Amino acid sequence: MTATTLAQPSPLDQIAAANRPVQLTVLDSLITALTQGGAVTHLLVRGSLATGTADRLSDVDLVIGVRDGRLAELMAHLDDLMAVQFGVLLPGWRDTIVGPLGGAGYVYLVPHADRLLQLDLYLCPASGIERLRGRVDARVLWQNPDAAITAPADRDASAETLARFADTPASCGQLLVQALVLHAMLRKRIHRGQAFIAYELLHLMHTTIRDLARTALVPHSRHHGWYHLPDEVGRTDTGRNALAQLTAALSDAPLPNADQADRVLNLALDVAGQVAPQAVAELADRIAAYRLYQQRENEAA
Amino acid sequence: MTGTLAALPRQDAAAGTRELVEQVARLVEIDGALLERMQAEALGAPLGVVAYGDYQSGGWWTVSLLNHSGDPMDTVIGDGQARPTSLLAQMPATAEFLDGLGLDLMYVRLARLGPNSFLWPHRDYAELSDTPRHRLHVPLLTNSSATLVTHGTRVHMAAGAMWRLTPTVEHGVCNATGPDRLHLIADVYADDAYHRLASNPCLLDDDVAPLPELSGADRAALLGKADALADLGYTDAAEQTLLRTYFGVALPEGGAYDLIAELHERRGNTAAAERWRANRDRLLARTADAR
Repeated sequence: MTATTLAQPSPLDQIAAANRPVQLTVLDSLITALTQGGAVTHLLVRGSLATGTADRLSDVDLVIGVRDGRLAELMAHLDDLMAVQFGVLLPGWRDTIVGPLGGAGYVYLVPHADRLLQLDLYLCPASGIERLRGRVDARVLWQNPDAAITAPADRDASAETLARFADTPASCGQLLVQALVLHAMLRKRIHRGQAFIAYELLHLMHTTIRDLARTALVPHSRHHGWYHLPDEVGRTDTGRNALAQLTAALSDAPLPNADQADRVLNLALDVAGQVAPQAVAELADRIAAYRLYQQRENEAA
Repeated sequence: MTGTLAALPRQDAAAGTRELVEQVARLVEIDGALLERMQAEALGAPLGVVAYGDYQSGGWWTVSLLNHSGDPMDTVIGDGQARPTSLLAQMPATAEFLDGLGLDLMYVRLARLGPNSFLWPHRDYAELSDTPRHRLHVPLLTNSSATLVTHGTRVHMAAGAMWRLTPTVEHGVCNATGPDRLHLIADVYADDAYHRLASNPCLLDDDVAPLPELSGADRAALLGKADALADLGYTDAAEQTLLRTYFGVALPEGGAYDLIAELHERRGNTAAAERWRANRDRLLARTADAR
C-alpha cells in the first residue's frame, strides 16, 4: 500500500485564501445554489470580477441563462429564492441602468460581514445567451451540459415574458426599493470619487421621488418625465408639499457628497411616507435594517 | 443584587403575558459600562464552531467560556461543575460579571447568529437529567429583526437586560436581516441565588409581538410558493420557506415541520415526508408516548 501525501498550500497561498474577496465567496454560493435547479443553463460573470479589477466595494455581476420555457417561472420566484438562500435585504430592484441585453436585470443587497454587498443578477433566456456574449465581456462559470436547443414556442414565451416585464410600471413599493438601492449605489460611487456616475445616480434618485409622488397620487397619469407635475401631482396639499420638497432638493449641488445622498434618501422616505404610507409600513423593518447597515458603514469609515 | 445589576420595575402582567413570562422574561438590568466592556471582549473572541447543525440554517456559531473540558471549541452541553475555558481567561470583565452572579453555572458560551440565520423550532435539555435548571441570556449585540419565537409570540431580547429562557418548551430563534446578534448564554442550576436573581421576571410591551394566525388562503399560497420553488429544483429553498413561517405566523407545535411533510406528500415523496416528521419528533424531543 502506498501512502499519498497531499501537498500543503504554501504560506503565500494560505494568506491569499485568508484574504479572499468576499465577492468570490458570494459568487461561489450563488453557483452552488442556482445550479441545483433544472431551469438554469448558464452562469456568466461580468464586470470587475471578470476583468480582475474588483475592489472591496465591487458588486457581483452575474448573468443567469435560463431555459426559455422556464423564464417566467424563475422571474416570478427569484425574490423568494434569493430571500431564502441569501437573505437579501430587499426585494430585487428592476435594474433600469443595465443596457438592453435581451433579458431582465435585478439588483439585490446582501448582508455580508456587517455590510451590504450589491448583487446584480441578469436573467437571460438561453436562446439569447450567445448574442449577449457578443455584446458584453462575460466569462462562463458554469454551463449545463444538458442545455437543449430552444423550441420556437418556448422562445416566443420568453419574449412575451420579457415584454410584459418591460411594460409593467413600478409600484410604490418597488420605487421605494429603488430609492434604497440607488442610495447604496450612490454612496459607493461617492466613496470612489466617480463624479459622473454619482451625478447620474443622484438624478435617478430625484426621478424616483417624482415617480413615487406621481404613482401614488396620479396612478393613471398620461404624462411622463417631468411634464405636468404641478397640474397633476400638485392638485392636493400632499402633492404640492412633495413637489416643493423635491424642488428644494433639485436646487442642491449636482455632484453630491455622502451627506447629500443621505438627505435625498430621507426625502424619498419622507415623501413616500406622505403619499404611500402603506408601502413604507410594509418595508419598515427592511428600511430600519438598511439604516443600521449604513450606520455601521459610517462608523467603520 | 450586585452593583452592576439593577432590579426591574415591578410589572402587572396580563394573563396571557404571565404565561409567556414563565417561558421568557427580563430578570434584571445590566450596567451600561459593564455591558460595553463585555461587548468589546466578545467581539474580540473567536467565532467558535457551528454546532448542532440539524437545529439551524447555518450561521449559529458558539464558543465556550465555561464547560467541562476547558477547551473553548468544545461546545457539548452536559451536567456537572463547569470550569473556565482558556478563552474566558482573556475576558476579565466577562469573568468578573459571571463570578459576581454567584450562580451555580453549568455551561456558559458566546453565541453569534449571523444575518439570515435561524435556529429551527426545538426543545432543549432533553438529553440532560431532571435537575432544575434555567438558561440566562445577556444580549451583547442585537437588532430588531433578531427575535425568539415561542407560544406564537415574537420576543425581542433587547440589550441592557439579563433574560431568562425556559428552553424546554418549543422555541426558535432568528436573525432575519442582521447585523450579527451576539449573546452571552449561561445555563445555571436553580438554587437560592438563582431564585433571588429571578424574583421579578417581566416583559415590557415593546418586547412582545403576538404573531397572526395562518389563514387557509395564506396556507394555500405558502404551500403554492414552496411547490413552485420545488418545481424549479430548489427543494432546499422550498423547505426553508416553510420552516421560516414559524417566525411569521402562529403555528401549532411542530406546525412548520408538518407543512414540509405536507409539501412532500403532495409531490408524492412519501420518504421525504416521513423524514421531516422524524425530524420534528427529534427536534421537539417527543417521546414515543407523546407522538
